[in-house]
Parts: sequence; C-alpha cells; structure tokens
Amino acid sequence: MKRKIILGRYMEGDSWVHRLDPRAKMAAMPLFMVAVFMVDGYMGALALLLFTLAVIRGTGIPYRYFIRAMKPLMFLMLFILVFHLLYDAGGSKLLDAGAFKVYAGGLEKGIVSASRMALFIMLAAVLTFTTQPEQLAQGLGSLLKPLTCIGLPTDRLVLMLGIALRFIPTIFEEAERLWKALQSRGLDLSSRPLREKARLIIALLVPVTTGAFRRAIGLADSMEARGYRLGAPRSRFRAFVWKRADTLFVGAFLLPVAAAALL
Amino acid sequence: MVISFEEVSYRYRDRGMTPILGLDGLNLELEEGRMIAVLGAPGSGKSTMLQHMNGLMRADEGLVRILDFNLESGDSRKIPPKLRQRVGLVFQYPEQQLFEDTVEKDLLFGPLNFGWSEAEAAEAVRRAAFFVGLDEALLAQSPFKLSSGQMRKAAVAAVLAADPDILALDEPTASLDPASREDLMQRLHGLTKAEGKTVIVVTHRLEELVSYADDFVVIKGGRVIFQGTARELVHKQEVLEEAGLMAPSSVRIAGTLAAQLGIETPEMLPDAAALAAWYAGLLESQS
Ligand SMILES: Nc1ncnc2c1ncn2[C@@H]1O[C@H](COP(=O)(O)OP(=O)(O)OP(=O)(O)O)[C@@H](O)[C@H]1O
Ligand SMILES: [Mg+2]
Repeated sequence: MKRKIILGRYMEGDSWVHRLDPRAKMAAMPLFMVAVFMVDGYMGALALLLFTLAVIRGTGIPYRYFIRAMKPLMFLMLFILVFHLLYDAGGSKLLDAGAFKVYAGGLEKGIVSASRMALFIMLAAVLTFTTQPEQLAQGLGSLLKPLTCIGLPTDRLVLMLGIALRFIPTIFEEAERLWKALQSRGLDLSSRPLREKARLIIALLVPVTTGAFRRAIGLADSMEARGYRLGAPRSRFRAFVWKRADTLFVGAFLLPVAAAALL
Repeated sequence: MVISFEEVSYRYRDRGMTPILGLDGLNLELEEGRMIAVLGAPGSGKSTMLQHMNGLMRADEGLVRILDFNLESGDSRKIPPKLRQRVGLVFQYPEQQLFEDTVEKDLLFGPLNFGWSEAEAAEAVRRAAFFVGLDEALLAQSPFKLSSGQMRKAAVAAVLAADPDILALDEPTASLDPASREDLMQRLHGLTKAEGKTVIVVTHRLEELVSYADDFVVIKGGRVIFQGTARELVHKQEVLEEAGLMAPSSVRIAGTLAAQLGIETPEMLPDAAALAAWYAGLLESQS
C-alpha cells in the first residue's frame, strides 16, 4: 500500500516536453514503437537508449522516477532475458556449465528484447509524466476524430477514457485513506489468520467501489446539469496549438526509424 | 502534558516531484482533560497534525509525545496497538472510514481489534451509539444507506466505542444539522468534564466551540500561529483573517453598536448571552 504505482501519473513541471502539444507526443509513440521493433542488435538498442535518455533529460524529471516506473515490470524483463539465454543457441558459445549453455546470440537477443520493453516503458512514462490526463484524453480525441465518419463513437470513447484516467488515482487514494482509518482503529493484518485477511480485503473493496460508482453517477448528473451533452458541439477551454517544436519533436522520432531501416 | 509536538515537520512526497509541506516545524503542547479547538484555513495542516497523534503519520523531523509514548522522527518501529486504542481519530470523511456490511459490525471493529470480549464490545457499541444519538434501529443497516449526518454519527461512535483517552475529531460537525451539532459538542464537552478525556476538535466554525473549548489553536502553513482562549482569539483580527475565520456575530454586533454609541468595544465572552447582558447593562445605565 505504501509504494505506489508511478507509471501513468502526471508530474507537474514546465519543461519543453511538458509544453509540447499532446498530439505530437502521442504521434511519436507509434513511430518509436516501429523503431524499437526494428532494432535487433546491441548498437541499435544503445542508440535508442541514448535517444530516450535525451528526451527524458528534456522533461526535467529525475531519472529515478523512470526507473521506478519500470519496477513492476522488472520481473518480466528478467524472465525474457533468462528465456533467451536458455533457449536461444546462436553464435559462439560463451559459457558451458553442463546442461546450462550460454551463446552470444542468445545473450544479445535476450538483452535486446528486454531493452525493447524497457525503452517502451520509458517513453510511455515520458508521455504520461508530462501530459495531464485530460489533455491526454482530449489529444487522443482529436487524433481519432477522422474515425467518426466510419461510425466510431469517438466522443464517447474519449469521455470514458478521460473519466477513467481522472478517477483511477482517486480510487487508489480513497483505498489508502480507508486503510489508514482502519489502522487507526487497531487493524493489524499480520496477526490475523489468512481467511480473516481475505475477508477484510474483500470488505475493503466494497466501500471503495461503491464510492467510485456513487462518484461517477454524481459526476454524470452534475455534467448534465451543467449542460454537457455527448456529441453536441462544444468549445475547448484550451485548444491545442501545433507549434514548430511539435513538428521538430515528431520529426526527431523519424530519425531512429530511418536509421534502423537503413542500417 | 498529554500531547506535545516539538519542531515537527512532515512533507507529502507522493504527488509529483516537489514535496508538499504538511507541517513545518510545528510546536504544540496540550493539557489533559481539556477540550481543544483547532482552526485554520483549508490546507493549513490540521488533518496532517491530527494524523500524527496516533502514529498514522510519522514526522520527518521533530518529536511527537502522546501520553507516555514518544514518537521520534526516523524511528520506524511498529506503533503499539495500545496507542491506537488510547488515541481515537475520527476522520474528515466518514464515508471513507466505514466499511463493514452493517453499522453494528463497523462499531464493533475497533473494540474487537483491541482484544475485548464480545460481550464487552457489544456493550461499548450500544453505549457509543446512544452517546452520539444514533438510532438503534440503524445498527442493523448497511452504513452506505445512511444519510451523511447519520454516517457522521456512526463514524464518531465507531471511534468512541474503543473508549479512547484522547479523542481527535476532524470536522465532525460538517454534515450535521444545527441541533445535532450543538448536541454533539455538548456531549464531547461532557466527556472532558466527567471522564477527564482530552477532546480535540477541528472546525471551520469558531462559534460552535466558543462556549465549550478551553483552548483554541490556530494553524497556518503547518505552524501554530495562535494558542489561547476564545476571549483572546476573537479580538485578534489579524489571526482570524489569516485562519480564514470571521469574528463571531456577537462580537461584530458589539463592535458596531459600540461604534455607533461612540464607546469602546467591550471585552466579553463571544456569545449571544454575553452580548445580551452587555446591551441590557447599557440600556439600564442610560434610563
Ligand atoms: N495525500 C496528500 N498528498 C499530497 N499532499 C497532501 C495530501 N494531503 C494533504 N496534502 C497537502 O498538505 C497540506 C496540508 O493539508 P491538510 O489536509 O493537513 O490541511 P487541512 O488543514 O486539514 O485542510 P482542510 O481544512 O481543507 O481539511 C495541504 O497543502 C495539502 O495540499
Ligand atoms: Mg482537513
């Protein structure tokens, strides 16, 4: 309960990355993904890592936050590495310990696959750390806008996404507050039998979810009361302005793709 | 001294990068068996201070002494359950405190955690419910079906049931009707007088505590900027303003009357009765 999930949070700041148009940051994601998947060797992975570190530096957010963002997936990355070490027999033999053999090719594939994941998490963290949830949802809405003509209910999707992004941290906070209140009344889980622990945790979920539902219903009512209608034309408080920095940013992400394609 | 804070600082670190100051070298000493009002503008650190009182939050710097427990900063030893039992905390949002499927089970939660027998606990719950004026018929209901006023009473009862020596309540009157508000304050005051308990009440309404609290503490920016009696506080305009408070209407009326009559504003207890007595005295002396 103490160490919270950090990926997906917004970190206040005023760096040039914060100020970019959210659409530019989102457009950069698929480009980056392409580059990440085209990389298949140490050099490429290293080059992308340097590129990502440069962007991270630009956010002004300390590196340790990005490392913390990767923590929950560290295990998976390790698993990918070990998997390749065990089952990938390419290149020269590096180590031979009876049943356990490590090949240079396996090592390289393992490291590259694990770093693909790390790179992607880092860039996703750049996006969420520097973009407010509402802006994220709004930016996605305007990127998806063209799809309305093939009948995709983009407003509805964006509204849902926006509310979900807005509520997830609140739900965590609420669970934490409830937890504190119970501790204050002498709750001590460690001294309880397993069955009792499970019962308490389920009992905890009830107020948190009912609270969230009640809040969501209240929110819907209050939005309607203030004149919100889905699909109705609506002016934006903060219209996006596409600046030259945005073009440059997206352009910069074409570089690794081009480099990976040529090399 | 039942509670003492020495240079206590606390920073919230979980939202964004820059830590938010909760308490900033706070000093406070509270005497046993008194009723204490804690006032301050929103965000001044009242709730943060309260949560230091039973070790839910541990100070980054400084020393917190509660009863015979010393909570030093940097000490991460487990909080003894006895402290949690002796210091009861009623949180600001009651809906974030209740969780069981009936109100009765919720009220039983504390006493059973502290190892009471079922019979003792049931008796304590019945007494606590009666004390806050919670209808016994509600005990079998789900806490989430209660109105916010009833929920508030249930939340107070749930903490009182464990019979704490110190009771700290965070804006307990926020969703109560005026009659229940007055009633609750009177009963809490009774606890300090009859049973020698220490009661700490956070509020934004100076007037509801004027005739009950012995001591007033005003907080701003995580520090104590005033500690004293109601009589002293109501005439300190700058302190009131900094705490986002208004002088009680009786004081304002007395001030206006005095100005119109061209006499000096009287020093008096800030309540309607004192105002009436002063005014009656004025009328008498004129006739
Ligand atoms: N969970 C939290 N995370 C980050 N900052 C917090 C958190 N809780 C409180 N704060 C900050 O700490 C400071 C003190 O907050 P606190 O809740 O103690 O104020 P308060 O006096 O109880 O206000 P109110 O009258 O609104 O209840 C505020 O600046 C607030 O923004
Ligand atoms: Mg508060």
